[in-house]
Parts: sequence; C-alpha cells; structure tokens
Amino acid sequence: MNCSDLDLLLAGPAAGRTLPAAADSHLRTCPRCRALIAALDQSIPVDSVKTEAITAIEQRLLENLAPARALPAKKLFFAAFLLIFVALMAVGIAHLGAFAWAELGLGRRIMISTSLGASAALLGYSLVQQMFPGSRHRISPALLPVVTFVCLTLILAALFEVGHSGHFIREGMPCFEAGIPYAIPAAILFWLILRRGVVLSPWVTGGLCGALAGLIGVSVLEIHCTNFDLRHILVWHLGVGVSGALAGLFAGWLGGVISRKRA
Amino acid sequence: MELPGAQSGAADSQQELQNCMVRYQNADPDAARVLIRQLSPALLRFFSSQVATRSESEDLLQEAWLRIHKARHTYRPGEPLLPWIYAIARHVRVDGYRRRRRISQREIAAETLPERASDDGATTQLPGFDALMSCLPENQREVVMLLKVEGLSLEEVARVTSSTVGSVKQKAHRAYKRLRTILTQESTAANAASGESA
Repeated sequence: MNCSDLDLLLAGPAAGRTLPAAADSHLRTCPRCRALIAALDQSIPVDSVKTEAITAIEQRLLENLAPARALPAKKLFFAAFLLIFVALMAVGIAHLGAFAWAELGLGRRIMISTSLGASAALLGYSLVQQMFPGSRHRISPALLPVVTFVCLTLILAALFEVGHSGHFIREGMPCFEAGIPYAIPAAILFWLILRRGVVLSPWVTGGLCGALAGLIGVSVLEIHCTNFDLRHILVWHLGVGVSGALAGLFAGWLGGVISRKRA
Repeated sequence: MELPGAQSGAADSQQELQNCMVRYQNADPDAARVLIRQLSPALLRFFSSQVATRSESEDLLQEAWLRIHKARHTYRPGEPLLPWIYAIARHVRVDGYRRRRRISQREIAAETLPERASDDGATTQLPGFDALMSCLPENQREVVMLLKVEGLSLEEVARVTSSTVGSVKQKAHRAYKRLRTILTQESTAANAASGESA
C-alpha cells in the first residue's frame, strides 16, 4: 500500500472503519500519512443551532404548510423531452423535405441517426437530472454539451469529405436560417417542462437545454440538406446546435443573475 | 486504528429521515420539525466552513430551509435524502458567497495558513481542522468537508456537487496530497523552531 491507496481508503465509504493491516503497516513507515490521519481525526465540534433560530425556521415553514405532490417519475420527463425532439424534427422534415436522406447510403444513414439519437438521449437524460437536486450524473452536465458536439464533429468528419463549395457563406446561411426556427420553439417547450423541477445551476441547465434544442435543427438539416461538403456541415449544420448551446448558456446565466437580484 | 470520518450516515437514520421527508411532503408538521432539528446542526456546520461569521451562517441556514421548502416536491421517495438536501444547501452557499463578494469586494487569502488558535497547541502540534481546510482550494475543501465532516459517501458527494464519482475521488486525492505537503512544512518549521530554541 502507498499514499495514493490510503487516499482512496480515506475517500471511500469507510468512515469509522478499522484500517486494514496493509494500511497500518504503511502508516508505521510513512510520517506524512500519519500526520494526515491525525489531522483529519481531530474532533470537529458540531455547532448547536440557537433555539430561536430553529423556532424562526419552523414558524416560517409551517405557517403555510400544504401538501406538495412529488413530481412524476424521471422517465416520464425524459420521454417528454424526446417526444418534443422527435415531433419537431418530424415537422421540420415534413416542411423542408428529406432530400439528403434519399441520397445518403445506408451506412451513413445509420451512423448519423445513431449519433444524433444518442446525443439527444444523453442531453435529455442530463436535463431531467437537472430538475431533481442531488441526482446522479454519469457525465458531468457542464461538460456534456462540449463532449456531444466534439463527438458529433468527429463522426461527421469521418463520414463526409471536404468538397469544393463555391459560395461558402451564401450557400451556408440559408441552412443556418432554416435550422434555427426549429430550435426556438423546442427551447421554449423544454423550458416549460424544466420549470416544474428546481433548476439549481441555471447556466448549466441553459446550456444543456439549448444544446438539445439546437440538435433538432442539426437533425433536420442533416436529413434535408444535400450539400455534403464537410466544412458546410460542420459550420452551418452543427453550428445551429453550438449556437443553441451558447444561447442557452447565456439565457441561463442571465436568468440566474435576475433571480439573484430579485432575491 | 480507525479511519477518520463522521458516523452520521447510518442506514436506519437515513431511512428515518427519508420517511420524515415523505411525511413533510404530505404536510405533516411534526415531520418537518424532526427534519429541521436533526439536519440544522450539520447544515450550519456546512455553512460555517465557508462563512466568516456565525450570523451569516444562520442566515444561510434559514435561506436553505426556505429553498428546501419550495423545492420539496422535487424529492422522489426512495431516493437518498442527504444529497438532495446538500445539493440545495450548496447552491444557497454559492449564492451567499456571490452576494458577500459583491458587497464587500474583499479577497480571502486562502493560500496562507491562518494563525493557529492558542488553545489547541496544548494537546497537539497539528493545525486546527478549520485552519487546514482553509489552505485548500474551494472545490477540494468542499469535497473533504462533505466526506469527512458530513459523512457522505463518494457517490453522495458526486450527487451533491453534480459531478462524477471519478471527479470527486480526484479532488479528494489532490486535497489529501496538498494537506500532506502542508503538514510536512508545518512539522519541518516546528522542528527548526525547537532546534533554534535549544
């Protein structure tokens, strides 16, 4: 056993448990770890709360105590997020047409739909966890939008090649403008659902919400647009998702500032 | 030898608190009182670790209970209660910190070890726990406090801080490494001082 192993023991669910023999023998030879254990083992007084403070809290909480129905199961919210995602995507495809889908091969279709679906599921799952304080996170919610868009960039880069697009901006802007209108109503609907929970980190939740809303625009464009130039896809298609995430981040930050000022 | 740490995470006590929370959701005033009385000391300690004065800690405690009250519908029966409570308390503390920073615009020098209290030198040469904690960066101090003082498990701390278990382990490891270095420096300085006096 070394110092790092002891750190794991200290961090693990072992509080109050007797140290294993290996740790004991390490402690005999390591004065640094001995000092650390002694320092952490100092008795820490538990502050007593003044009775008046407790009474004041009780009075404020109990004066209008009414039953609060617990929110429905998380999977219902998850299903709602995905339903909105699919519904708005379907509206977009019906409106713009699935021209790219007809030209893409089966392999590319599977890769694109799987990666977009998995991204939406991950973002939706994390968004639901944001509504319930103290939820478990498999991936850090602050990093998830970044991870998602980096993975999508890599997958799209593997599927498409850099072509010879004559008018990069003139051909790209219409795509960007076509994708954004699907992200905006999605973000509003997601926000209406999010309001039912408690958002503790407005900017993180805003980023996740914007990323998921923007991903609807990305999906619609991937199925609609027949320009397979990689630069066009990364900038004007994926750009809708990234813009959504950034707008959500900003909206969340702004919302947090406003609510703090009100408080 | 025993591993240091709080013993407050006993399963039956947790279960009892969870039952109280469900009754509190159903507007049972006695359950609310039990929760307030049982959890307030630990929450006050949680706030005191970051806040300079006791009155500020008590203000944060009040605010935390108000937010817990407003958010009580988001507690899902059967889920662990303490991560839910501490996640809300953590954000109250962060908001309080921002508010104080805005008001005072003073910087806290976290890199320097505060003066050791004179009364703990009689029993040990170690710096006090709070003094040691003040040497750690905010995110590492928070993890050590939750693990050591509040007695939460790695997974519970990950839930409170909205991060992953791996990230919590890493922060704890870095904190312990830093504490070892500080303790070694303290010990070397103490030895040098005693050598000079001899």
